[in-house]
Amino acid sequence: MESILRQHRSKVIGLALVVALVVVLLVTGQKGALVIGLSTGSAYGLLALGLVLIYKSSGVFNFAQGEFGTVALFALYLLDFHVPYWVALLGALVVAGLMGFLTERIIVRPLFEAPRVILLVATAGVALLAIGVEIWLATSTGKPIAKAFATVDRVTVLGVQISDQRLWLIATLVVLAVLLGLFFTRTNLGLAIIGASQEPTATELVGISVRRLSSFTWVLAALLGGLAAVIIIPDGGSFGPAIMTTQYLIPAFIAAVLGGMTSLPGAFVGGVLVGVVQSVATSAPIFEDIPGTKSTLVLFVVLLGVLLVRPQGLLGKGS
Amino acid sequence: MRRAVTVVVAVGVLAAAACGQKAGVAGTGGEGGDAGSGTSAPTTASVGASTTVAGGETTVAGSTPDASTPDASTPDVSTPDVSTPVGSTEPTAAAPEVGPFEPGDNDAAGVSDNEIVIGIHAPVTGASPVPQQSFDLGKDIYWKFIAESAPDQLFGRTVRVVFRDDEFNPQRAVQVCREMVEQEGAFLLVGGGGADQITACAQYANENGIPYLSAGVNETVLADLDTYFSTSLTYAQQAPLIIAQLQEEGFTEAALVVSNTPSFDDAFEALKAAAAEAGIGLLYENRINKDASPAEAQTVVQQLKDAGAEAVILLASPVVYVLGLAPGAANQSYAPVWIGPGITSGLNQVAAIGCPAVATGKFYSPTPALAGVDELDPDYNAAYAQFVGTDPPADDIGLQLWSLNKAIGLMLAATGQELGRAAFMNTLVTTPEFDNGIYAPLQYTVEDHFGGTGAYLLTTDCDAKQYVTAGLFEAG
Amino acid sequence: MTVTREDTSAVGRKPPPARFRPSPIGWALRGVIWLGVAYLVLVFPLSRPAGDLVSYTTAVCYGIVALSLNVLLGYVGQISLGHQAFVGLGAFTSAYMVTEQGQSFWVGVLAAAAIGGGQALVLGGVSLRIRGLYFALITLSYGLVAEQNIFQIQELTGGGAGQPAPKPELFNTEWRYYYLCLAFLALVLLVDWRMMRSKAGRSLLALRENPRVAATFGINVRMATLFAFVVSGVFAGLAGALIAHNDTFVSPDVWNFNLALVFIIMTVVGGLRSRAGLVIGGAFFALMPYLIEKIPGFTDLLAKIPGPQDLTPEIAPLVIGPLLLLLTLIQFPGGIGQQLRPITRWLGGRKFDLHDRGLKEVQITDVRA
Repeated sequence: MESILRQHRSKVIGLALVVALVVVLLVTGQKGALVIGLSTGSAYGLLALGLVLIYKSSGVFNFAQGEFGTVALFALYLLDFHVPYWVALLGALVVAGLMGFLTERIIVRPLFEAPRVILLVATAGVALLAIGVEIWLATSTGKPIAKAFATVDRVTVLGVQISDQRLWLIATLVVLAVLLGLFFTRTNLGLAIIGASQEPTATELVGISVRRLSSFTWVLAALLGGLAAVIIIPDGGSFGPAIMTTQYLIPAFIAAVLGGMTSLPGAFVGGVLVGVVQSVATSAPIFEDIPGTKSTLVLFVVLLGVLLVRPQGLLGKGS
Repeated sequence: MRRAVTVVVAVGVLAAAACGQKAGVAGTGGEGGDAGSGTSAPTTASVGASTTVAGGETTVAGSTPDASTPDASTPDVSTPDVSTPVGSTEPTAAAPEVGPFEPGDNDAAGVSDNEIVIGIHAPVTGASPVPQQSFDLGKDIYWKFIAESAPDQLFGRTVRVVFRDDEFNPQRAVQVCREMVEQEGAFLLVGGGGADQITACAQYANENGIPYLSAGVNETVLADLDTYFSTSLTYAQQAPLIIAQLQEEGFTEAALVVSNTPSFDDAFEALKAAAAEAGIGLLYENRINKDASPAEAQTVVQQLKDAGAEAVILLASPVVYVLGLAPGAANQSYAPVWIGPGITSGLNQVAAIGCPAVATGKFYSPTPALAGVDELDPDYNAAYAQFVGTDPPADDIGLQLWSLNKAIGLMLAATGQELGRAAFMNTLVTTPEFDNGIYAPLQYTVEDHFGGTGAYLLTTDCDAKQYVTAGLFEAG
Repeated sequence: MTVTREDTSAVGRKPPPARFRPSPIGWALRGVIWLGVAYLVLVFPLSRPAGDLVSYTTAVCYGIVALSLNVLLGYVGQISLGHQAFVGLGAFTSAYMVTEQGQSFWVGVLAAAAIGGGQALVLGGVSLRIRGLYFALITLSYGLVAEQNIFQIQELTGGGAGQPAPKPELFNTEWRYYYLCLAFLALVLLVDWRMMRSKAGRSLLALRENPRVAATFGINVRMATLFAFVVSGVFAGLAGALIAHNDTFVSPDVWNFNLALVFIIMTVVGGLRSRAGLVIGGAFFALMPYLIEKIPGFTDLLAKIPGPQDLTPEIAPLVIGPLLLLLTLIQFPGGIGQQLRPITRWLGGRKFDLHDRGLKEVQITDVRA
């Protein structure tokens, strides 16, 4: 028994923390926050999956992840006028994937050998370029967008309704997190991607094209970003330029880092944590006196705390 | 050698700086006027009360670069008379016919024999965006219209409108206002929207003796500015209308959600006071973040729902409303009446984007809804079709600009041939009222520059995805 | 201690090459170019209207910001995605000192620089434990805290409505203020140059190359890093104060994440560790909307580009800026500075060498956490 505990020490600690947090929230009457946190946190988690994917394979923070999503939204909006909704959804994903492919080809590949911070700045450049083009072509005003599932009152948890669209989001997140986790540990392709990121030369020697892997990874990440956007945003009914980057990207980064940048289940955990913190910070009385956006400060403190104590994140491996 | 060069350059620069430069056209004065001294407006329970600007012979200091004392040095705060509504304030018989403003050095800037320049700033990019195209197309229509139909109204002058994006932040607003005055030679400035930006730019305008008009927003700080004039009811002035409407609809309780920015403090207090006076219980109050994320909005929605509020008085940016609160409520099968002051939440784009989640929204506006404006003023649609065309079709932002320009046109005409900034402002405070046929009549006095006297209530029609007019309500 | 060396000079070795000295014509040409630059920077603004001068001053201040960010990014190798917080806090400090506390402009600037250095010191202390991309995220988060919490403290900053910041009495026209800021820029350049010449500066460079090796050479990694942070913060705070009084108004909304990205972009496009490039990069990005409007014919050219609406001077920088960045990163990693290097070295009295591109790209501390 003891050896098992020791082996999975970090997971046990994590689980204990989660239970403690839930108990605290329930006791202090913040159960709404818990559910809202779960709901919005899933959005962050889904976006974070793509961030973790890129980090595992290219070693960089992909600042364009949000815009892969926004571009998909624009595609969905435009296509929805001409084709049935589900076809438009697929089309939106294709567009996102294309953007990922182009980004990898034009920006990432030439900078393969460059220091990672340069690549980070480059992805930020891609995001900004996308935003600029969106503002130019679409103006800054919002546009309505329809959701896939209309029912909102099917499920109620602790007094908070979770719409079908949200349920779809949570389900997608869980399924993808598990699938991707398995992908990276059990499939040859997944292992090859990890291998390529750590030992590119060796990978090439074994006969695997590092370039092809890189394309594949970025397309996959872009698809994840697009999927996140087309599920999350229609729940709010409208969107505008840069919406994913402005409202979801930075919490998603924090979620990814909190979860441990290399852990896919970590992205899920981190996302929920960020969502809960945001919700609690907004409503809990002890935070009332914080000027401005309370959740920003609380998240900063949480992030700093976690990184100082456990630099590899909650579920990350090694230091 | 490099070091020597740097030293020489530094010395040279300092020498050049010391050797005196050209005086600026409108150099920013030394110590700012009342800017940022944080004078809080008295809590107004009724519509008509407001702080007095230091009356009597106030001279508006011209914009000499070393402007000494700011204009309204010590604003007299008169205790508001609770029962005096604005509508019945007579143009003070004791007011001097000439008016208190005296011309400064730059009095005729922006006016030539054949042209008057007006500068408008509004948020095109940023948190509360309005389509630039709507502004670009709409700003000139009225002036083109009267150039054709009544060219003598402005004594042979045409009006050129300059428009700038203030990016929804006050720092940028001050910059663009300065640009419009110093580079484009604007005679007067107009604030299109955004309380913080209007407040910032109005302070700049006041320091330099430039008339500044905007739709009514906050009263804090603006009440102390000599050259500021509002062209519609301020938020605080709209408070009693909102409460009266709630009572009319049978509500005895409501919730209050106001953005957490100092500019809205006086509105928050006014709404609370009006609710208390009318016996409307406030189940829940929240100063929501100016840029609330959907997660935060969701939390507020949950609290509103848990409090059982069936009506929510809302004063927040339309983005927070359309992207956060309304869809958040819809997702919780919770549909309170959202009611609040205008203007931006009452624009058609809110309905176009937000329906069906915003179906229960009602907001006030100085103009009626676009649908049905022909009954009041058939010229707008006709002029739009003539000067712009049908693609894009006439929109409500154009209507706002049309109405505003029409009012300004009346003011310019009333000032007469001898047009200067002081003369213009004197005309405003000594003319009993300006009625452009669309707004409720505008009435200014020397003490009270908040000229609005009424507002239209707009309700949402989600079938047509637009607002429709429910009625005109006069303050008091 | 004397070191005896064998006299090998006579053993078939070539004599060391004589130091390059430009010819008289070379001197003259260099002088003309220097004069041209001086004219552009010092004399040309005199004839422009006040509104333009405000833009020029912003350009100068952005140059200082680029130099400040370069200390972190170029010298130490740590990326700061929240640099707008340092600059913004300097801006608010100075505005607060002058408007609320009634102090003079100079006190405000000093306070701003001090606060900038102080908060950088704190953040630097944190960075000692958290490195690389994770540290970047901390700075990003801190930048948001500054914009959304610190700058919303009403007593200090006027909350959402902002705070006025009048110019100093002696320099209260746009022209004078511009020259004042130029003087500050020169001062910052001087300090930066001296610092990198000093032992501390050399430690930084060694640190950037390889922290562990640097430590074995007895360089106190901690002190050197903290020192760099403080310098960066002081420059940033100073720039913030200058910007505040240039705009005569400070509000929180300006200091957002987008600005952080603009700062990073202009520093990278300017060229890390190239002072001339940094100043030009900062100035260019500050002046982009201005240039788009003023360069004759450019606005018309942009309007011709097909699209549902025109590429106005407001929107064009949003597209052109990132394009330039991407171009720089892919084709010209050393930025403007690297491209200008043959010219700047020539101006400094050396031989004109088209292929002298200076140091290789930035080596950043291992960013895989």
